[in-house]
Amino acid sequence: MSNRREFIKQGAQASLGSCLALSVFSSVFESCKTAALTGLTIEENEISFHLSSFGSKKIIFISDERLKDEVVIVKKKDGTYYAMKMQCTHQMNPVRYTGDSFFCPTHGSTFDMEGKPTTAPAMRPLQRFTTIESGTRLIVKLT
Amino acid sequence: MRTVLCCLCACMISLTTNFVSAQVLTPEDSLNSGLESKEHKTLIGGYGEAAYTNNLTLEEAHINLTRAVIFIGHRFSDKISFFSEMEIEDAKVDASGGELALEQCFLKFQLNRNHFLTAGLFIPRLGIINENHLPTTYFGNHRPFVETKIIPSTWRELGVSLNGKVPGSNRLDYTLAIVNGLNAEAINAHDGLREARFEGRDASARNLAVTASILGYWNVFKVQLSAYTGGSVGLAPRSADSLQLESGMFGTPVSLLEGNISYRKHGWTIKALYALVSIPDAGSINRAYANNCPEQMSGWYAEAGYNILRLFNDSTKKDLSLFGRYESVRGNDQMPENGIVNDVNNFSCVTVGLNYTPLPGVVVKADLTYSESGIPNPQLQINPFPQAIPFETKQSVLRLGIGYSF
Repeated sequence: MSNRREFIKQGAQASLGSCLALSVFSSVFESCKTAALTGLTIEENEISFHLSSFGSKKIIFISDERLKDEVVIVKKKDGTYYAMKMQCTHQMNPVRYTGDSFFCPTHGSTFDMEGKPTTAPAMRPLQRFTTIESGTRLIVKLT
Repeated sequence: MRTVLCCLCACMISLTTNFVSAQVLTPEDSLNSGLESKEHKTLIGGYGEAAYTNNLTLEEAHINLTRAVIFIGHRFSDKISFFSEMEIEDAKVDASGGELALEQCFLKFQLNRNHFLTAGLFIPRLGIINENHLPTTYFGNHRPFVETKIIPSTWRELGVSLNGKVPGSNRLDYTLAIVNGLNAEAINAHDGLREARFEGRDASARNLAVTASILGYWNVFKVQLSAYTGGSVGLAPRSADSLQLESGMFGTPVSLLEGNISYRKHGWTIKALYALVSIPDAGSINRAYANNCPEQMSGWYAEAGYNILRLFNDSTKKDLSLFGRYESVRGNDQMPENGIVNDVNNFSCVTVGLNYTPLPGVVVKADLTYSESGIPNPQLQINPFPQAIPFETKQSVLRLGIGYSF
């Protein structure tokens, strides 16, 4: 019995300690996140970068402090692109990419790769942005 | 623990200074529809559920509007929002029952894109149901017993919470919160911690609690660990001394440790959860209040569901999930020497049923629960009624219900 009690105590302390350490360093790591995109320009309502940035990748995330929200850009099999806001449509919390879908850690909503909701409570798709291919560049309209 | 609190305050202050940008509310948001380009806007949402319950063993049945909830949200600016959730249980409130209560009422401060802080009455991330309790999000009419008996969902307290993405990782999220503590006088083996919650009303503030969670997600798997530890005696030292209890910030501690894992793919939903509550000073609490406080409670469940409509149409938008859930609840897992074991508090049950979702936000449910418990301890029956119906240790309950959220 005492072992289990000790286990709880140590587990709780370890969890709390981990969270504290992660929180303290969060702001430091925040500034380290830069998207490695060629020729990236960010204006008030527009993102632009070289299509070569995709390389063999099928998905790119743009996380920049000049943007209000993280943006994900997906390259489709037919070579076209679509962009979405990484924000849950339930209660505006950020969504995370899980590898094959998007997940809102706050209330558990999930979205497929096209942004369609697959698990409640979210009922509406992720917001999409218009993408325009202009020569060798991709332009994402944030309005 | 003081060191822990100091660190927490320091990190919150540090993050507050990093206000960079805030999320924009989207027009698609069910709560914040239309807020994106307009500041100072107030909107509403809600959820509710009703159920017909028939205890086939006892031949008793009733029907009830279990709950109806109204969300009200207001956006003050890009960085600051208000959220509230007001619930009416059992349709009306009078001397015979029902409840009108605020389940959430907090301000949310967006520190930067990946971190936000909430202050007020909020629901900490402990278990699955506590934070995600809309009827459209879980199988069955009744929430899992483990998440009502062991984790007293919906468990909300007053405090401050920091939430966000673990730095340097795209697969981990954290929560860290300080909230008011519990009331040791109301802890017992039958109701667990449920009656010991303050739920935002005049909570004792000499005792506090810290709760934290880590949530990881990788493809179709999600794994969560959460913990809670806090004081349960908020009396003034003189009063606590007279009861021989330790008061103060973390005096007479109550701790909870929980872990869960879930899987969702191709129409399958599989979940498992384990929760353990430890109250090392239960003997002292019993000596002071004679409330039969347990030293340890635990519970676990595992459930699996499959959308059978996918058998006919792989890309269907509708959902008719056939599910099964096994639960084990041990309300008096460990009792102190001055506690009374009541085997009725230890039970297991199997629930099987169907959840039908014709479109997002609407659910129709049908399920059957078979439960098996120990017998009530006769020592706890002070004046037994001579013609009392014998207690049934094995019971079957049929439930039919509807739920919605918008």
